[in-house]
Amino acid sequence: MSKTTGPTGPTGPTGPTGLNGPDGTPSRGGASRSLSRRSFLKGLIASGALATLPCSLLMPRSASAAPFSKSDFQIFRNACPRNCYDTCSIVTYVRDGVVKFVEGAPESTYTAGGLCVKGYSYPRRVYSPDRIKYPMVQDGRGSGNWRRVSWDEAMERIARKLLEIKERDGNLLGLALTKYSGNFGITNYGVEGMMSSLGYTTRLVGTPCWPAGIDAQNYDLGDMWCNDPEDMEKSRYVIIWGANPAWCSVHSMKYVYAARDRGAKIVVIDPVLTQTSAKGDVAWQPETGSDGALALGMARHVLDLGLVDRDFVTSNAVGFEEFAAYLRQNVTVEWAAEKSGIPADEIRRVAEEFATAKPATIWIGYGMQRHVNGGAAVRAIDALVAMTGNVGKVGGGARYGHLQTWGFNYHAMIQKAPAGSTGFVGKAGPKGEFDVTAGAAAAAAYTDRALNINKTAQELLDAQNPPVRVLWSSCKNPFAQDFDRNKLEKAFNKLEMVVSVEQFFTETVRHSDIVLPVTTLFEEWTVNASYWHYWVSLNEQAIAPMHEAKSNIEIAALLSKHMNRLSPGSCTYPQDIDTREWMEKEFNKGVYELLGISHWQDLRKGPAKAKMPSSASWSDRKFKTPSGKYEFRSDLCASHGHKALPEYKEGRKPYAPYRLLTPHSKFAIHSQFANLDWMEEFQKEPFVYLNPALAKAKGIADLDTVRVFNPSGEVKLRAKITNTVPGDCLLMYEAWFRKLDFNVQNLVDDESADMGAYKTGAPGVAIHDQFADVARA
Amino acid sequence: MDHISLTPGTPRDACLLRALRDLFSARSARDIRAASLALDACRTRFGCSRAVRGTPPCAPPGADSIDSPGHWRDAEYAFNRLFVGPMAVPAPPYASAWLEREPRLMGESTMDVRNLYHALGYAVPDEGATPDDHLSFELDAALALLTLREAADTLPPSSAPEPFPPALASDAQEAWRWLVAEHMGAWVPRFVQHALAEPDVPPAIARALAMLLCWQEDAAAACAHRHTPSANADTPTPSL
Repeated sequence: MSKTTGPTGPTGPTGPTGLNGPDGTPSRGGASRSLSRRSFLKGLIASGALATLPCSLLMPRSASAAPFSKSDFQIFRNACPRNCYDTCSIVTYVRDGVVKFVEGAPESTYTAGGLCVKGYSYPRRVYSPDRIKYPMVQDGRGSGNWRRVSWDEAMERIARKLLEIKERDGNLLGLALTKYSGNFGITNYGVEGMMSSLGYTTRLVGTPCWPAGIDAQNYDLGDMWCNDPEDMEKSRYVIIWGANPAWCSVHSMKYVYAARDRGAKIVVIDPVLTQTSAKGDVAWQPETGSDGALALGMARHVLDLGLVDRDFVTSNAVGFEEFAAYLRQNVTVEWAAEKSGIPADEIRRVAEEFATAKPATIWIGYGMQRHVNGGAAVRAIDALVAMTGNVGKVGGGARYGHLQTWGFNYHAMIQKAPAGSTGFVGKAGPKGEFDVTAGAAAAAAYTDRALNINKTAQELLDAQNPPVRVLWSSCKNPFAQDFDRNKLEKAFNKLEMVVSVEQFFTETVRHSDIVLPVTTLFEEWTVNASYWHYWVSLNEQAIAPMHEAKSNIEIAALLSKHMNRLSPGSCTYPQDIDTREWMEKEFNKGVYELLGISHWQDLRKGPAKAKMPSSASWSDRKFKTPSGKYEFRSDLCASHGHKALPEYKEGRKPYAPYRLLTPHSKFAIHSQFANLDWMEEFQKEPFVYLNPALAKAKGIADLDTVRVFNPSGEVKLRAKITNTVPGDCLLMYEAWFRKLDFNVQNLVDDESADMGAYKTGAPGVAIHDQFADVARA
Repeated sequence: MDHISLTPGTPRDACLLRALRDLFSARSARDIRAASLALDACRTRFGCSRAVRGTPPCAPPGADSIDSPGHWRDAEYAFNRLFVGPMAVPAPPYASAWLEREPRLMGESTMDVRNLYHALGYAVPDEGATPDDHLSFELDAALALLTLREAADTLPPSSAPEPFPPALASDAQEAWRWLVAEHMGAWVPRFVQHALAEPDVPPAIARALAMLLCWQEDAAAACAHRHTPSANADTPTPSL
């Protein structure tokens, strides 16, 4: 054994931080890389004397077990299923049945060959040693005493419990589902389908994300329908209002930059000086929650200058004169300046520039409507865009979101209740913004029981006849996303069984009795659409599900098998399903026509973009409002208890000295991604960011450990002092750190936003109308 | 070929490997109990002295004094906390988690052992879904190589009904050396050290970890001994 042919080859890298084993010591990567050159492998194969080896776990290998050539990659189409503007089209490279790397699909002009920092980390997620690998049962919720069980054992346990509560209550309303946006693959609506197939159940309905704005746009325009973001490059003036695309929609930034290259001015409005603000020409940092006043002040100035698009407001709108009268009587630029803190001259200048640039657009972010006056503020901004004639224009528009490309069959979702099921008797609204069954439910004798997802803790505590006994959580991490964490803990204590379907050990799993491992995007077939751009992507199964993971619809099928075994007819969900077949069942003629494809297989060549009559929404100016016109005055809105006009609505009264903002981090989407090593490299711990003046007043130095507290609870973390945050604000990014207890929901209560109930079943939540105090710990 | 009776490997190593393999692939308290008792039996039968002179003595904790269902249930909880989940485990029992430049599963080191299993004509169940480099599979493969190595060493070619490939002895030995000394040597000691550093490791698991480390160190030392220049002076260097 000479040194040159030594067994260890080159010494492995002892590389920089991060290139370490789980113990933090440098790994010896490279040490074993030369195995494939070892002659003993050939020798062993050639010996043929191997049939009688005493292996009991290893199985004789069939020659077909490794279909992948070593020198080539297999290439698959995937789509990022996260709750994100960008919904990236992904190309996945697989070798030896292992995802080696991912990249953005070049065919989508939106994804344009690149992913975001989170997207590139996907292989770290699939192959994370931390992943939940098996169904497991916790003996004593929160005890940390977990046992591994087979899928059959887990499902039988759940099925027995469901049958028991159905027997006890005479219905299945004691079973509640909490699910939101953790996986937007269309077949994952099979979770809702699973619930329906069991009978009438309790659903946590609504959305914490964007409901106030959805309702506002529905009142004004008749639907939420934004221009193609790719046409933003044709804008002559872009206002990005309460959104931070430089972090949260990186693929949209190229259109913003292109618009600027063509001479457009970019105005960014955000209480925080964000990365997007830094890239704009004008950055306004208004008082948080003053957006409505600011928009109305701009509208008043536009009115005063006579820059109103008379043709639009007379031919295509109703109620403009009433709105103008409201502005003249109640709004001045000085008033808006006082409310917002933006100097009156600046408001006048930007308002005039906006009204004279054609086309001009406003990107209405979701952050700005997470307020008690958020819906009213969106209506005011819509009005500003409409009165300047920018609705229905290429490069114009009040851009918020759309669901134009979501016309799938929802085959997985639409399941029948077993014969004889009874349920809730009463008014049924939509169960969220994606509920395609909303119309049909009204006719049924029984319905599901709706609880407000934004008040999950209180609703679980209050529900009676029957109480919620079993909670099923999928595509959701309630402890990270639902409000008032301390109250949620009390609510969970009332539950008799909690089942969570997860990939990682979140705080919700810690509070569960049973955890079921679920597939990642690479391990199931589905199809994905965006609520922002107009591309639709196929999501192919690229690898076998790791460990014992199953997809949501496979879990539903297995539950159905056990339900029907124990009580025939107790569940209508098919018991044997194939995720690819179920993906195929989501397509229909309408989807094919919209995408200009003849078969879903065409999407294997790349994502397809909807063939819209125009890149502009409402280009025919046929609005879906009751009047068929743009409604400055919405009687529907008034009938729902709001103002008919987009009037100013006061914000929430402070209940602690400083405003608390908990927006999205760059390195996570809610609680997803933050636990991966690549993200931890950038974001190892949470910080509260505060202004130097506030820090000085409180005697807080940079990196001091502080307590942030309010009536809901407290968190302890280190402080960073920065001028990017206004003087009256405490900012901390929402996140989940696998090694830390930090949770912003300790501090965020469940105060409702003004709108959201109309289209999503429950009002939104005033995530950014929160207040707290801070002190050195 | 099944009429060739391959003699079992070194009985002590085989006994240890079987018990350790069964312990680290345990799914339940019952599995852990059975494997722990088997491991104790190995120790009782073969003692705990080191195979190679000059190495420090190996002194794993003694046998469990309690044999109640609750005792083994607690061991199961601890076993899952250390190696299984659902929480992030401090000592993932996968080579790839320790050997890659960044900890992950299904890395290059996983493919290395997959290639070895393939060469032996084996594969893990559900290849592609099951990480090939879980400790229990590697111990199973070590057991296979132990058997093969012994067979090649002890069966004179003339006694075999068919010609025994002359290179098999050196191939089996080299594969064994790669697996136990080079590959496992690069991760098992750190894995053991990490698991043992966790609080409240039950005796059954602490014992298994210590015996695993002793076995691996002994086996690696024996390989090194066999490969010292003096021992190999008149044999050609294997081509790698």
